[in-house]
Amino acid sequence: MAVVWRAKRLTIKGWSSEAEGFRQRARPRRLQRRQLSIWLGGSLLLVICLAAAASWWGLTLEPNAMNIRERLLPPGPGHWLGTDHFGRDIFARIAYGSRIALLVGGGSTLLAATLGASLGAWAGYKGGWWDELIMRLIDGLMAFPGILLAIMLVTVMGPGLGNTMIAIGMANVPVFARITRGVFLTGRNALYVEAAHALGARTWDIIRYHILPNGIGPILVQATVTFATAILTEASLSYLGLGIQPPDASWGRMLKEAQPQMGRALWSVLAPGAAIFITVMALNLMGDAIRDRLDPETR
Amino acid sequence: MGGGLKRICRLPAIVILGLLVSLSLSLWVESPGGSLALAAPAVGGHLVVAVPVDPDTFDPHKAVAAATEEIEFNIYQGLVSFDQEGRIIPCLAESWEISEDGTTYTFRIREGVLFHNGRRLTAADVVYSLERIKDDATGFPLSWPKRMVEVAAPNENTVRIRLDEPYAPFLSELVDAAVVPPEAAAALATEPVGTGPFRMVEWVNGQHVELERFEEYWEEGVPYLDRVTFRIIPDPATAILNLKAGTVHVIPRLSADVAWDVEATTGLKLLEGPMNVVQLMALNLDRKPLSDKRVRQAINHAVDKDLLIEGAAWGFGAKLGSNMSPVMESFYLDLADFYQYDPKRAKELLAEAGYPNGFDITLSLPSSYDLHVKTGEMVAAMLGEVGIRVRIELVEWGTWLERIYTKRDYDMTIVGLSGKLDPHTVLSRYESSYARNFNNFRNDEYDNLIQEGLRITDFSRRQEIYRRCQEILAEEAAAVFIMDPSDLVAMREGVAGWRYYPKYVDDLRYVYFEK
Amino acid sequence: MVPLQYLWRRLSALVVTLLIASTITFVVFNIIPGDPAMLMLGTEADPEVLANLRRQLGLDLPLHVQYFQWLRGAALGDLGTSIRLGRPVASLILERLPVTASLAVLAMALTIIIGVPAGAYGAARRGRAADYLIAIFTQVGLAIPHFWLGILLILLFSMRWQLLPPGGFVPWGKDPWQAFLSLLLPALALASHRIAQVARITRTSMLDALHKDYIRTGRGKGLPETILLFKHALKNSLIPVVTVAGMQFAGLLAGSIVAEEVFALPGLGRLLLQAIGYRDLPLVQGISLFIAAVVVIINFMTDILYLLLDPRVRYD
Repeated sequence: MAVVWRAKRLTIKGWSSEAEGFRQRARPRRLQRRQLSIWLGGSLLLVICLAAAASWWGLTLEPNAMNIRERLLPPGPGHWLGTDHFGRDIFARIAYGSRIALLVGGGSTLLAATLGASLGAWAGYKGGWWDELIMRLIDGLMAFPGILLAIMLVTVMGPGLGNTMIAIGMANVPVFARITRGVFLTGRNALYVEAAHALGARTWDIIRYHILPNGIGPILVQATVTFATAILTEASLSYLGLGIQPPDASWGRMLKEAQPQMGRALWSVLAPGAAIFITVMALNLMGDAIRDRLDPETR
Repeated sequence: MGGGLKRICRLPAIVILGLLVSLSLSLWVESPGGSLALAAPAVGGHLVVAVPVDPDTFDPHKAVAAATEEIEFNIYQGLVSFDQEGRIIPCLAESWEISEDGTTYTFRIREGVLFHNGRRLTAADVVYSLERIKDDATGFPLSWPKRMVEVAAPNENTVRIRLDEPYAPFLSELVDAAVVPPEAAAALATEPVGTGPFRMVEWVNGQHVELERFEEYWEEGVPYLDRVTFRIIPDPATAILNLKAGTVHVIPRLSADVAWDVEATTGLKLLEGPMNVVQLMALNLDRKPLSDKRVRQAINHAVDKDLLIEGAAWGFGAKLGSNMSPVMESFYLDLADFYQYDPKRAKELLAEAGYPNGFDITLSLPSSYDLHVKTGEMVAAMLGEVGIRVRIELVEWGTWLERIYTKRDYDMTIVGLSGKLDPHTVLSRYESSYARNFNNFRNDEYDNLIQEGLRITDFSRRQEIYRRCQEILAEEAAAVFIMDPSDLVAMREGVAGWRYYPKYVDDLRYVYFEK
Repeated sequence: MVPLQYLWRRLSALVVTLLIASTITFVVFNIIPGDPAMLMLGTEADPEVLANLRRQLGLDLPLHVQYFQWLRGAALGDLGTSIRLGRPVASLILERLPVTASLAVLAMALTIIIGVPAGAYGAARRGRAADYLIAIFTQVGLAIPHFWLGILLILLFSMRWQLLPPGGFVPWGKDPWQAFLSLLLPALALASHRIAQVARITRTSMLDALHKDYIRTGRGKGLPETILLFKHALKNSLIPVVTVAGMQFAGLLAGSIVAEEVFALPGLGRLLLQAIGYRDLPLVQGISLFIAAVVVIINFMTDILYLLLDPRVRYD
């Protein structure tokens, strides 16, 4: 089984945007880099969260207020990032879009992690028949590249915020299921778990005190990765017109709507793309930092 | 500020320019002798036309997608055709007679017409084609062929058709009834054989359709072009980049979103003409509070159509007041200003109807139609101003057809109803018994007028009838009739002879490259 | 080499996975609302003609009967007939496949041509300016949405400098050079993410290898550093790179759905999106299943390749 397991681990990592499967030794320079990752990633993320908060508290202009006479204005004092084809304030819409992105990213990650981890834990702990059933299903799901599965589900459920969140969440369930199953599979047979069994500990306590702590790390790392991927997927879906629906502002949709005007209103395609880029990079950097922290070999 | 203002000032100039261009074109067209100072059409050349959607099938008796019809117009022909005003003109039939009771049509078939496979057209081919259209197994989407109770060929040059009862729009329906040779019928879907000015050379799915001039075409002097390629380019911005690069010569039905780019580029020109489409916000009259006429009138007053045309269509559109495009000149009644934009009046009407604080309502939009989505976004904001809280819901075209159009499960929706050549076919969709009367409009006077119009052939009475019909639709506020979006055609300088029709076709017979 | 028993086990797992994937496809798409018959016939369709067509398409049969008919056909390579286009789904897929496949292969090639040397160079210059520069590019590549990058590339290369075609596809048979050019920008946009990934893996895996005993021995023996790096370290560190690159293929296929939309390429992704819009179920099912099958088979082959490449692996 060892071979298969190794290959599967690779599958998981190759799937996610983080494929750094092979560790390296600790070096002082790594530490500096980690600090940089945390600071840069953290501050970028803070900016995005602030923008979302500003939109939440109504500190920006009204993101959906149209003014046809002021359409396609370049960035200036009245409109920091200019206006779009309806004369709506692009900054306000970017800020609103960060609310959507964080909500969809966070929500779908939470869904994927909870559902995936439960399935994986069940399969890994029960083993045998259950394991076979669940993992075959997960294998079947994994045959569909993430965005394809999300497109399929959104097509069936219809577009919109909630459905987009669910579709992206479902598409990410398999990764979490596999990771958790791996943790439980190794945990079940570990010496200290067998010892706890022998001492008469209850199943739930064993899971809680002996197996789960080992699983939290990988799941957390995967969660930051999934968060970033989910934001990218939401943007792609909305770009294709299958995700967030108007009049709600979403970065992907803003990009799509701005595209016909890009020759004369460059800012309107730059702003939403840059917003996606910055958010995903911030999350990736945070993910790197968490991984380094949790990796026993670099600690 | 600059952008917006400049755009507004420039607009009339463009419209005038567009008018001048189309005027001079039509002038030239009407005097083919070439006495005008325009260059004589040059024969030859290979024209590349960008179209957004792949054709689905080239079997003319199955195709319904407009994208297919616009290409097919150059390959297939029917007994009759239409001119630029939408009048029925002879085509494969040289002439025809209609019996006194209006049920028997006798066509005299044109002599010397060849199919693309080289065989001569006979009356038997016409009978075969009409029978094929009538046959359920063929899958022709419309029901009018059922009205033909008998199709016969008394001799080689005559076809006689008997209808179950008088049906005034019959000739205009025949426009879509392509005549095909029986021996080629099985493979028409991919290997079309017709009598048109061009024949197909190659079709690569998703990429292009290539046509070449049919040397034995029956009309004298046309077509001018040697070859035509329809390149499938789904994205209008990409199409324009190709137009600039010279790899594409014409983009018909250009999205108004990118028209600015054509106007801003030297060496390119933009033609503007009517599309013969009625873009409207349909209201489900069976739903509260839309069943109340005052509410519908309030909605009509709350919508600023001029702003919609400017905002959603970048100014390229003609304001409507009822369910007919101005292109149908002889039947059109100008009701564009029947409901002035007047939010105050809208609020009064709402209060009168018992909704001083407005109400909540859903607006369903077909997601694949960018213009309707944009219009809908703006309408939602406008209705918000008078207190009507609109929830926007986007549905895919498939869902739209089933849920909204067939099952009539919706409050309000925005869609474009493509115009027809005959006023009956345009207006009969509001008849209470019409299968697709998705507005649920019911009006006795209207029903009677439609029935009367079907049976009489007197032109001036038909005019009266259909004008009154438009008036009723406006008075009753059956819907919010918004605009006929302009049909924009972008082309490179040096391409000439483009003709506008009240139907969705690309007529390439008269197109040529200026020397 | 690879023991037959292991191969057999993997093969049967492959078949089971395919079966499950096909079931998922069918189940998902048969809950969709929308009447395909109506879509074919349009807004003016006559109800009687509609009912006729429904019968003709088998839309009136019970679901499980439809499923088994479809599955049996799929197993024999017959994916049914497209409702809108009236042609066999399999032949439609084969028609569009060259575009998507060329795009994916070109993107894969770019990934390896750019990613591996960049990673190796970064490892060789560890801690120096070049390493940091590559690290920055890697972060950018991992975070940039490829459809946005695509738009920016069109803006620069097609609109501003007019060096490359703005979109659309030229068939290979017509003009191979133009075909290549028309795919270059989309492939680059599509590959950006993967180039970054591969560069990263190459770098770490090479750093890993550099600390291995045989390198130390080599260094002790006084072999030049370049030979050590590129002959010994890189060769061994390519094993994980190859396997990961194999897995990337799935991502490439998925990414091309969006890339084809940006660059107006007539590939499988565009066909899929169109089919969804028209509720052309046989076509949607066929394409989804096809992509899933390709992914499963490539994963399988990568597993086998991994076994063949890595001499340390035991079979048990």
